[in-house]
Amino acid sequence: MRKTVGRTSAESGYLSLRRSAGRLVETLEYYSARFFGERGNPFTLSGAILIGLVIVSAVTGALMLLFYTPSPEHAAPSVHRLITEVGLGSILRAFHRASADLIIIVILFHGFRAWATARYASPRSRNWLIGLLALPLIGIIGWAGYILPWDERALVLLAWGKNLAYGPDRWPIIGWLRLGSLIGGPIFAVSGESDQLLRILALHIGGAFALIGLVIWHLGRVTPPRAKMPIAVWIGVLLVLWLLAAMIPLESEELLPFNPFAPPEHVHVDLFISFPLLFYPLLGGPILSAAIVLVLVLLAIAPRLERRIEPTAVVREIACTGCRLCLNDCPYGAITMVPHFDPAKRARGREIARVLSSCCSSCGICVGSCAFAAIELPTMTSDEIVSSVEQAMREIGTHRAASPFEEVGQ
Amino acid sequence: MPENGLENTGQKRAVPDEVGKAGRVVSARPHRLCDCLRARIEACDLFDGLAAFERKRAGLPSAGAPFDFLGKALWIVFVLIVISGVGLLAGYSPTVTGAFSSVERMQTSFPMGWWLRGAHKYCTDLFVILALLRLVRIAYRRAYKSPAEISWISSLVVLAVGMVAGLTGYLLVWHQRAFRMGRIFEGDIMTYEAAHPLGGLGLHGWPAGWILGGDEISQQALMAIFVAHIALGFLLMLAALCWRVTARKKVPAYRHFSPETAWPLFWSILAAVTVVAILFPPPLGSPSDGLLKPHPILADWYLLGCYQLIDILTPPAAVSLILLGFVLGALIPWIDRSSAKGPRPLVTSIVTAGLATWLIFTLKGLGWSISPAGILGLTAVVWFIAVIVGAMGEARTGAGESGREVTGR
Repeated sequence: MRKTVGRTSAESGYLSLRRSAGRLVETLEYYSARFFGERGNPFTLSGAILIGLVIVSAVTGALMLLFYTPSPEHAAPSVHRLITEVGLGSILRAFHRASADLIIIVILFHGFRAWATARYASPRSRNWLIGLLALPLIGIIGWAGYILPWDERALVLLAWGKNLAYGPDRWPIIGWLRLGSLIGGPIFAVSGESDQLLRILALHIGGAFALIGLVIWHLGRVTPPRAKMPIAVWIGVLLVLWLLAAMIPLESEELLPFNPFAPPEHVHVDLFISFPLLFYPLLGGPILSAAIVLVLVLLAIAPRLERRIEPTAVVREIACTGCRLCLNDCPYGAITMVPHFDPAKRARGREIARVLSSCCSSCGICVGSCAFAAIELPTMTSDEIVSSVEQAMREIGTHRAASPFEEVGQ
Repeated sequence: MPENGLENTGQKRAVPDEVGKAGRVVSARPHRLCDCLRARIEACDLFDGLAAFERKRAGLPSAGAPFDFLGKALWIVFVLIVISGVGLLAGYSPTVTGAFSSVERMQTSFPMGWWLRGAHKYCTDLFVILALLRLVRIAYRRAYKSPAEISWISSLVVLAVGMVAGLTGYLLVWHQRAFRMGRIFEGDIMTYEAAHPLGGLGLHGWPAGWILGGDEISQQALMAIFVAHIALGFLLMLAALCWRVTARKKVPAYRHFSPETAWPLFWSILAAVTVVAILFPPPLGSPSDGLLKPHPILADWYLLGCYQLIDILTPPAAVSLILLGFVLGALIPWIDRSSAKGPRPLVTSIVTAGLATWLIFTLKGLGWSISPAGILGLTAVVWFIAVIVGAMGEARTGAGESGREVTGR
């Protein structure tokens, strides 16, 4: 635990801001849990919803790929053919785009929740960094996706992307390192239009592969991961997608041909998929790329402003049912039952568990005993929890068969 | 007390007890299709995390048994394939005129192109070998028993997808051999459709028309193959994600990438593949030319057996036989109904015979001079011996009473 005495006013201001955001999120979660129920609460399921959206966009993308021709002459006609002639083609494209938009919205909320409820802090800070990597990755995938039809919008976005990527070369001092050429070279320094389009396709598909890889990595470090959505939430997500798809007018959008000699004045992109690009006309390439890097760096070092969370078990109060399983199992007597925080439930005598941090030895037994995933050890990964439980069992002198991974009574 | 998500997975009981999230106890017998399906999906074990977990629970050393690393290696090899494939994608041009020269350029002047190409090729070979060995291991240990049916079928599908992805990738180089092979496979598809009784149902020309974009190998065919190749890889990646998501929580060994054992494996595979890619750069051949006919016609080694089968029997019979073998293989968990645990001589010998058949046909494809009648006779002899030996072993041990416990799958 870091000392708290020498805290500056700016630091405590940051913490109080963070805490009030945390209260906001908890209030939202509480009321939405009353409306949607504990299991279907979309605010606590934001990670699972993200995975569902990634799956939707990946499946629609793989299907659309079957009808796409990555060459400068045929790209726009093939997209046009997809939405006019192929059965369900326009729906595929609309869902692909709507899910990409929704991914941005949900990932921003997901990150906001992790920040506001201090889930981004020290023990989970590596997972926070993995999540931060996903942000620019999704931006790049979205940007590349807009270029694939190779219409006039692609021309403009290519120029913008090029300026952004080569931006670091024009920064003072750092520009001397030629970082921009290192980043932008492999994508932009090509001989012809055809190669250019292929590299953008590689960026789009390779980015999608990398995103799925990041998700798998991210999940491996969450304990316990809530990665599955109930069927009802799936249906809700698909409904929202369908609504969004109906709102985005893809049918009427014409794909104007790519003409390098007459670049358009203004292009339309969806608000969310590449929202930093909204600031491009205002700031220009070098400044915008600097701003993006600055924001990402600030977010990456933000966990250092927090106090270390003590390595004790934590009860997720919203999920705790007061069943006393952890109370019975804890060998250290570190669990007590306290009245429920909800006045209505408290009036009915409901209780929830609370951890006495002075008694907790973070052995993980309570995490294994909870049937509702309502108690967690945020400092540890699943692997560490299991090995710590096994060690605790050995130390307490229980027979091995009584380890939580054996079924007693076999 | 049964823990949430930590139920026994099939060796001691068919379908485990489970306490659901809402606290309701799902009974040991599947009353509903939902429970039944969930148990099977949760028993899915693409990368052997579950097998490792069960070994650990049984008190066996985690890396003790040979062939237990296969699933982990499969995942690592797949990751390497994806990384090198995305790199290749950046330099490949899917046009009839530009494909071969772009691959040539990749081999010579593209940054790290030699590694990308070599790693992609040799990792695919490794992927097929590992997937095949994994299937054999599962079959020998009879770990396909309930509730691992879906796990078994998905392992089979992974092998098939790997082989088809390998075939499409081979065609992408668009050298003379690939071009000829495309011709032949296309010709076989057409012959098969024309000769098959189902051809009259309006199927005629559909797969060839869809996959190859017409009656002959053209630009459209190359594009379709290119796109199918990427889409297959992408769907495999998605399957990995779904598998990760459906894995039950709190069971750490479901993490297929536990660092202490996986990193050494990763580095050794990477080093081996790199060394092989340096020593034996994947052959380029010569640009495709529709008028020339190379001799012998070569596919990747794992498809030689199929090609020989097509050559010896007629295409309709061969394709039907391959499909029948695949379906029968997928149905093994339902064919083998015995409740005995552990390996059974009959299953072992039949799987060995299948492997031997595949080996014989592959050897023939590699240039072993043996007549078609000879190869068919040899296969018949192998199967005869296998069935006899298996039946004898079965009679000796007494089917159904073997109580040996198998802990891995």
